Amino acid sequence: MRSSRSSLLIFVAVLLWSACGTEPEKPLPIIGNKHVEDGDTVYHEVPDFKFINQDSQWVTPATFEDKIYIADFFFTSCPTICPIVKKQMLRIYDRFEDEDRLLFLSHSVDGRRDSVPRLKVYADNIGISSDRWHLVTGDIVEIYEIADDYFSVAKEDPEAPGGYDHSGRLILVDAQQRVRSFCDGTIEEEVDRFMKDIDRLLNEVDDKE
Amino acid sequence: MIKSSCCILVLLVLGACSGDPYQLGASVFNEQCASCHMTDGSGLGQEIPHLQRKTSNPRLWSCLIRYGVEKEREQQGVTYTAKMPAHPQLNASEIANVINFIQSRWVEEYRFVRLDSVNIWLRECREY
Repeated sequence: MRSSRSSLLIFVAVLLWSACGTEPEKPLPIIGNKHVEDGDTVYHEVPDFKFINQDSQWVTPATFEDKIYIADFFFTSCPTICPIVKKQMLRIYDRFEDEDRLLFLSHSVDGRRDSVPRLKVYADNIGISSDRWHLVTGDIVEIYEIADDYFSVAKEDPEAPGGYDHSGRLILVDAQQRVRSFCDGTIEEEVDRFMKDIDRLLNEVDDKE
Repeated sequence: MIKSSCCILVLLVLGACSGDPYQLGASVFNEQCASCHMTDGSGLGQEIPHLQRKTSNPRLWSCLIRYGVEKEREQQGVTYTAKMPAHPQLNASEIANVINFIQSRWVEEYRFVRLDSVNIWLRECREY
């Protein structure tokens, strides 16, 4: 009897302690291969790029300086998953409306149809601002290659619906150009989880400041 | 005669009780339409039209679904420029079913669309 009472006490104490403990959240993993160079761990980074957005402005890593961003690959006449992914991205865009440290970068994989004016019309149609969300085109081979660095897929494929094969993945990139999380942008629950990762990454930036 | 109408009545009542009366339409919608118009019919801003509306135009819809549309058009005060793809793989019955499904879900005032009407409309499609 006595021992069960004391174990109950311990149990309650542990419960209280864990409820009060503000254990710091674990940082998000840094995704990709890493190696050690001169004693420092070097992580996978998205390489430099130069694309052009819906306003005919250059978009480079400097555009995302001190920001985190969400990247994806799409095309405006995509008959399959893109509209759903865009709808989910809009959910993130709205949820983080007041967060000026989070930007969006959507790469068009369709170099033939998605001209700058077409991207502009698309941006206006879905109601996004180029201050926060860049729809880019550019050297199509560079876009296909950089998809690999985001651990995504983008390539021309006459067999695929609309002529392009690409993944609906959303990729979260930190201020050091490192991939920190991703999700399947066609699944609402996955995107919910992804938004928590965005919060975690923003908190991580807060902690550093 | 009375007996057969009774049978039809019973079938109708049974049909009404067995959940979604437009199951074929629902499955066509989910396979062919939902990726752009979304499973809840909400579309995508001014890029892809939503499907909620007061009245429907099943004659126009039959042609749009079968042949798609490329030219700029106005719907409920919004100008849409994006192309809607054609769906030559859908037969008249599937088109009738999907229109009935869409109407039952999102259109306020509508009339049930019959297969023979869709067949006639499809023969009379102008170029959109």
